[in-house]
Amino acid sequence: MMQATSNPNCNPDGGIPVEINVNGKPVTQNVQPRLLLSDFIRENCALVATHVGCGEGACGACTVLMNGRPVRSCTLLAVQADGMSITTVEGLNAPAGLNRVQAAFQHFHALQCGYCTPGLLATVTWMVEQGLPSDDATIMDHLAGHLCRCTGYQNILLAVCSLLDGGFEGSPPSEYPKLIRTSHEN
Amino acid sequence: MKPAPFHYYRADSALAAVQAAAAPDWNGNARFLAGGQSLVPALSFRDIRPAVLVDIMHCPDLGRLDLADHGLVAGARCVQSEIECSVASRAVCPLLVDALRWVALPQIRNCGTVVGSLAQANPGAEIPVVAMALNATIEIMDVEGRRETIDAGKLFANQSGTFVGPAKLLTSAYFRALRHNEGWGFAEIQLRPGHYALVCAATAVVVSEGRVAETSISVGGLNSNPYRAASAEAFTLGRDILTDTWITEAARIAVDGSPWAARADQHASAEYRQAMAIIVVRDALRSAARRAQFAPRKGHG
Repeated sequence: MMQATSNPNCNPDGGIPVEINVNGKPVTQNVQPRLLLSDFIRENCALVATHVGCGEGACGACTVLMNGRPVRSCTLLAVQADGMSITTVEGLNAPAGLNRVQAAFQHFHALQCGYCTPGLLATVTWMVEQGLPSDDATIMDHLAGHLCRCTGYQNILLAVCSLLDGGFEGSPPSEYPKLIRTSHEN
Repeated sequence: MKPAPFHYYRADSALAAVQAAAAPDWNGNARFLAGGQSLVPALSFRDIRPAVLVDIMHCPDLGRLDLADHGLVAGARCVQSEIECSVASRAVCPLLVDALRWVALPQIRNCGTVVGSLAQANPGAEIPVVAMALNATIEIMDVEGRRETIDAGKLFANQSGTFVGPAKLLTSAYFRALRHNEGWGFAEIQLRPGHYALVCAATAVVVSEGRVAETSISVGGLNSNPYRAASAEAFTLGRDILTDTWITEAARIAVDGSPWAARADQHASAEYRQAMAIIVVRDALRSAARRAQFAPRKGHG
C-alpha cells in the first residue's frame, strides 16, 4: 500500500490537481487542500456572483449547483468537487438572456440588495427542473436554507409559486399566483 | 475564517483510508472526510485542526445505498438525499426517511452522509436517534482491515461521542425494515428550520390484537447521545392501541428514565429540554400508535 506521506497529493502547500467543470468549461488547477469551493469559484475562477455570507452553511448565499443539485459551496472543499460539474448563477443564463427563473425573479421584484439572489436562483432552478409541487411544505423546506434580509420573502414566494405552478413562462402571467397560506387559514 | 492548512489524502480503498489515518506522521490527529457538512464548518471555525483529512468518497469498496426487503444498508458514501428522495427507501424504512427531512437543510443533505452523521454523533443530530430506535447495526473496519459489527446501543453507549476510536472507520449502517403490524413516529423541536434538534424522538410500535406488543422509544437532544427509554417501553406493553391515555404517562417515564443529566446550553435550560422532550416523545408515540392501527397485517397481503 502506498504510504500516506509518499502520496504526492498530500502536501498542504503544494497543489492538488483538480479538474472541475465550471459553467460548462473544464477548469484544471492545482489547489491547496484547505481551499473552499466558494473561494475556488470566486478567487480562482473569478466568478464573483457567488456570494459568501456566513461561511458555515447557514445563510445559503454561496449555494451553487453541483452535478445539478444545490449545495453549499462554503461547506465543501475544492478538492471534494474534483470531477464534478458546478453551475453558478453566471452559468444559469439562457442563450437569449435571462432564464425562466431569473425572469420570474425580475418580474415579481423578488430581490432588493441581491446578496442572497444567486444562491436562491440555484435552489429554485433545481426545484423547477425537478417539477416539485408548489405546496407550502415543499417551498418552505427549500427556501428555509436561504436568508434574505430585504424582501420579507413575499415576492420571492410569488416568483417561486408562479414557476412551480407552471404559469410563468418568461412573460408576465395573466393571473397572479395565490400567496402562500398562513397556518391559521388552513 | 478559513481552515488552517492540513494534508489531504485521497484513499482508493477503505483499508487504505484506515491505514493512512493511522500513519504515525499525524500523531493520531487524522480525520476522515465524507460529505464534510459538519467537518468543513468546524475546520473553518478552527474548532478542529487535523493534520490530515483522509477522503473516503473515492473508495469503490465503500458502498452507497443497498435496499432489500429486510432493511437498507447505507454505505459510508451514501448521501442523505439519496435515501430521502427514494420512494423505495420510504417503503422499507419510513422512520429513517421521515427523520432525514429534519436533518439540516435540503442543500446540505445533498452532500452529508448517513454514516458520517453517526460517526459525528452530534448531540442534536437525528440519524443517531433513529439508529437507536431501530437498533441499527454499524460495521467498523480497523487498521488491520478486520470488520466488526456493533449495534447502535453500543456505538452510543457513552454519554458523548461514539464508542469507536479515531483509528477505525465506520463503513456502513444497517437499518431494519418496517415490520408487519408496526407503526413509526418521529417528532422534533428545533429553533429554526435547518437547526439541530433541541430535542427529538423516534418511536416504533408493534400492535397485536389491538394491544401494544412491542415498543421502542429513542430520545435525542436531551443528552449528548441518544438513549433508549427501556422503562417507558415496558410501561406501554399491553396497552389498548385505540386509547391514548397511556401515551403522555409513557412520555414522562421516558424522559425521567434518562441515563444522564439533561443538557443545558445557550438555547435551552435542562428543565426546558426535559419539558419539550416529553412533548416530542408523546407526539412520536402517538404517530406510531396511530400508524400501527392501520399497518399492513401479517397474512393479509
